[in-house]
Amino acid sequence: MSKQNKLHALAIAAALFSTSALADGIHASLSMSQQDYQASDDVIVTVTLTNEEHVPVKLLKWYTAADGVEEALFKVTADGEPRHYLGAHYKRPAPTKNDYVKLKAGESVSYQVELSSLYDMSQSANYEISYDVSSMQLFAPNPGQAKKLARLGIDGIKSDSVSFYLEGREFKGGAAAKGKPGTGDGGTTVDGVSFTGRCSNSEQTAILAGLDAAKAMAANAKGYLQGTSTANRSQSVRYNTWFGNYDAGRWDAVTSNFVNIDSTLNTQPLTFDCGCSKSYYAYVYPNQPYKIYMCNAFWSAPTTGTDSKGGTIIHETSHFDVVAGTDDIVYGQSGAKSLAISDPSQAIQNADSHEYFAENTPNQN
Amino acid sequence: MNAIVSASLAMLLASIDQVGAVEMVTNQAIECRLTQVRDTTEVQFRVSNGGQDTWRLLSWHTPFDAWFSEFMHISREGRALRYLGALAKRGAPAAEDYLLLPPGASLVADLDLSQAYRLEPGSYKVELAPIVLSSYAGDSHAATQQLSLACEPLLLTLPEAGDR
Repeated sequence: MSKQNKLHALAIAAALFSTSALADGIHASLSMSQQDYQASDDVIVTVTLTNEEHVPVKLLKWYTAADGVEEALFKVTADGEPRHYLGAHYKRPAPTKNDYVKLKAGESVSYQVELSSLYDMSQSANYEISYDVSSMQLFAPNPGQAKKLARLGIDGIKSDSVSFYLEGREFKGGAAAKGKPGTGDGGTTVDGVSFTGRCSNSEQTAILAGLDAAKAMAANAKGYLQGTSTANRSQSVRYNTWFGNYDAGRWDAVTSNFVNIDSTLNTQPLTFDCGCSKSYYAYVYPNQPYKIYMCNAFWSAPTTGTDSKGGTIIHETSHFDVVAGTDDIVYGQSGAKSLAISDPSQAIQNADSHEYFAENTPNQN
Repeated sequence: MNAIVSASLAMLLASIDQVGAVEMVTNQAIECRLTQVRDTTEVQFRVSNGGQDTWRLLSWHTPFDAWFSEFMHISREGRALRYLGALAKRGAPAAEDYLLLPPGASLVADLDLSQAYRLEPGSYKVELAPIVLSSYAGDSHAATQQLSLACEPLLLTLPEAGDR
């Protein structure tokens, strides 16, 4: 899931496929380490820029990947059809001296860029990519150079293209539900689930695995609550641990919450966003269903079990006002257990209590 | 959506690592203030250390973590306003989630309440969840004292547009 933008001191080491092109003395080449990708693979391309002039050239950083990709740097097609850039476009003030990176005569810089978070790569296709940037400000103001570039009519850098095949996801819904672009905010939609905020292929895969786990947990929780006979409810260790002493009204409220969570996960249009870089697992705006923002802790969480990807999705889904309208009253297993004892009416409003009940780890009956 | 201020305190206390006995104390040297930026929906929160010791606070559920939790309670004529900000699930706090408050220092957060509440001209009561501070004697030392700091509620008045 790493969005790699590493700056390498040296050019391509053992690239299998490499092409290049010459433009005004800055030579751009792309290389990839493989030619076939799975839908769960991140697609990493190495961009190498070489100054073939005899004098130093200053390049505008925004059009390199020096600080991460901040502009549409590539032309991408899938079976010949253009794929639009999904990342951010920045409105910026005019560039200053510090916005340029200097390449000495003969010097090269290489950057690694993860492409599946920047362009929709959910479909099976032959993809072709080339580096293609142009801007009147691409090269630093330098009277001699500017004149020369103007004379040559050069305002950009292009590389030859590299191509690869990517095996897209299998779609449960068949051809009609195939990946299609267009959630309105630059994301992609796969099998009814939308992704925004630059979710890479591996991140999308992790989210979909978490969603499957969440659906299984929600179905299990709902089935347990509905299937436990009234006579046995007061002896439910599982319920008692997370929601406190048995009470018919509270049991029904929790049941209704899980009926809603289960139905939401299976029938509502969910959107997952990968743009958050905070230490949290995830967050939502409760009055803005059904969008969940995934943060750092989510990626390292296990798929199932305590504080898992599946459980996090249960937790966040329960926050939506139209689902269960839960709050964060306490966090963590020990806090949730204490709350169940001290205040069951608050426990049934607490998001983590729902998550832990659904994760049911360690298993309790 | 009816989290209450006292519940937020319970969460904070539960989320602070408690190693050994922690004594709850009062300390007149630590002060907090919530003030309105003249006639606007903007407020400034300030916590100041006028004492001799360094204190530390977890930014979660405080104005230093806006708007990722419901750390504030706003009411109008006794009726609670709905919180429209985000709710975040968190794991264990990391070092970067704590703020240090050395002797003589202040921590300041500027907030625009209209980012998380729908506000119209009128008068509002703005209450903060108590801020929990722990004594701090270096990263390798467990806190020995804890302090729950309750800030004076703010009476926020928003004039009609024509009155500004």
